Amino acid sequence: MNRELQEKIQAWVDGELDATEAQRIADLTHSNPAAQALAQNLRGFRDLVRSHPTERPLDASREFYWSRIRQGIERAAAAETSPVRPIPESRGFAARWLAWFIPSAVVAGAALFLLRPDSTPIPSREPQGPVLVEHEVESPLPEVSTLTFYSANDAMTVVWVGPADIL
Amino acid sequence: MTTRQLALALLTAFGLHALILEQCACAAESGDLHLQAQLIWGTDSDKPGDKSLKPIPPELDKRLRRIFKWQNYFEVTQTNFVVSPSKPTQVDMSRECRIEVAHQTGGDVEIQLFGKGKLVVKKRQRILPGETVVIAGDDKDYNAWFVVLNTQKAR
Repeated sequence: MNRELQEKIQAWVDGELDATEAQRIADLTHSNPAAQALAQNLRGFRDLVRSHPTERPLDASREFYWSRIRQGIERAAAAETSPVRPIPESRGFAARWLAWFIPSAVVAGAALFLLRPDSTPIPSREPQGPVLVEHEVESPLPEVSTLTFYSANDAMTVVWVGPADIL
Repeated sequence: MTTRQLALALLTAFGLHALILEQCACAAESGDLHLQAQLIWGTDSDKPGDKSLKPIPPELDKRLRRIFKWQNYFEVTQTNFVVSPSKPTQVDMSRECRIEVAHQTGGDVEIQLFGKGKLVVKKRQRILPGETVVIAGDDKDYNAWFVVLNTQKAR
């Protein structure tokens, strides 16, 4: 199931589709077990979690999220280094060294931070209750659907699997 | 050089030092991964029929209660295990439930959950200290099961 269809089903569950589109998705969920399972899962999310005041998908993709941070750091680094003024010889070695070191350190710090391997979920800007997130989850069983959410308050990623008989 | 510039330089140096230390810690962790897996049963019933079930640690109980609707959580099994980069580790959580955890390049782990011999779900994620990964689902009679994965606490 592609992402567009998943979003349509979520919108249908949330009652956000017009009548024609809603009927189309309703028909699809009757004929497609995976779509039906996803719709059931999404409906179950409200019953599943205790409270979800900020339930919503992230407002940006991972790449866009990080690109915004990178741009902010680059702007800060640029502001730190400009305008470039020559350091008079009279200032001495330490002053000239620090004038080189500070901007380099800022850029190096930004690079270390951005290049750090990290696949933890990105919390939303208001990390409180569980929020739906996208994760690398696969199932070979067609009847199984998954729903992944993250609670920043509890530092917990949950993959809800349904229906699955594991006990 | 002004005092402000000096303070900025010192702060930057401290920040860099902390970042480098963190990178070193990540590198150190790229070897064996010490994890803890728990199979937990969630229910609104007060008294489990199975006396082998144990209450879960209060801190985890608090976190699960904050998220999920069930009133009570009981531990079916708990296992500490080590995942080496060379081969996946299999952990039997119950007679019918098993997980297989593989340490991937880049520090991620791949978690495979098997139920009654069948692969049910496969997930890839990094597990950082203090972070918890839960794979869960409904059980019969409005109960639920939870496979909870954490890094082992330092001894």
